[in-house]
Amino acid sequence: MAPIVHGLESKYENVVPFSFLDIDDPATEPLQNALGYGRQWRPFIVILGPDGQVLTRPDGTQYLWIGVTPGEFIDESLIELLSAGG
Amino acid sequence: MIPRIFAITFVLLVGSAACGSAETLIYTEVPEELVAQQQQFVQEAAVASLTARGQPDALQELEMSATLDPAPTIEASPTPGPIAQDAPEIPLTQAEVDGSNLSPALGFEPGDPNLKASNPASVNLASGQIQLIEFFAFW
Repeated sequence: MAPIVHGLESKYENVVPFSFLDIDDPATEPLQNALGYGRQWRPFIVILGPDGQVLTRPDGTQYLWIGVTPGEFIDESLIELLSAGG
Repeated sequence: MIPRIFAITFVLLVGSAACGSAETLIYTEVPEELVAQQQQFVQEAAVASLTARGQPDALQELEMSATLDPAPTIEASPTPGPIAQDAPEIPLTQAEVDGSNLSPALGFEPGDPNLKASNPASVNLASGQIQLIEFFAFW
């Protein structure tokens, strides 16, 4: 499964860093473990806050997507976070 | 008493004969002559019996009940009716899913030479700013 948010990277260039990590690369295992990715799903997309934690919406849901996700969802979330001063 | 029993039995036999043919779904008409003979025979037997006993009321009642209607002729086809050949065909339902609205072309296709993974060593989770991380596979 190829990354699905590459198209958004250019839009948020110099604003929000994007990282695309290969789940088959052993070097990514510490990051997978830190973010609680159990390799059950792919892709696995998260938006992290300044402290490295997955950001949470006011309703308690996380900015986390599992599986194929429409790019609009992620785009709207980034706009939401940036407009809120995040 | 015996002639009365005989008459009733005869009536039942005639009736069962008419109904018995229902099993084959083909009803045949009982000849009118036979029906007339049966009616006449039954009535004569009843009259003889009841007259001897002095029961005119019972005689009238018996005459009314002994009158048999001709068996109706019902034509039933033993074979099923023709199957309509021009029945409209019901088209199979084919579900069509338009994925263009669900997954816009934002990413690379598998095998795309431009697809490159980030260097995990360059990733700092607590970077002090918002960042997006995607775990993916090349396959």
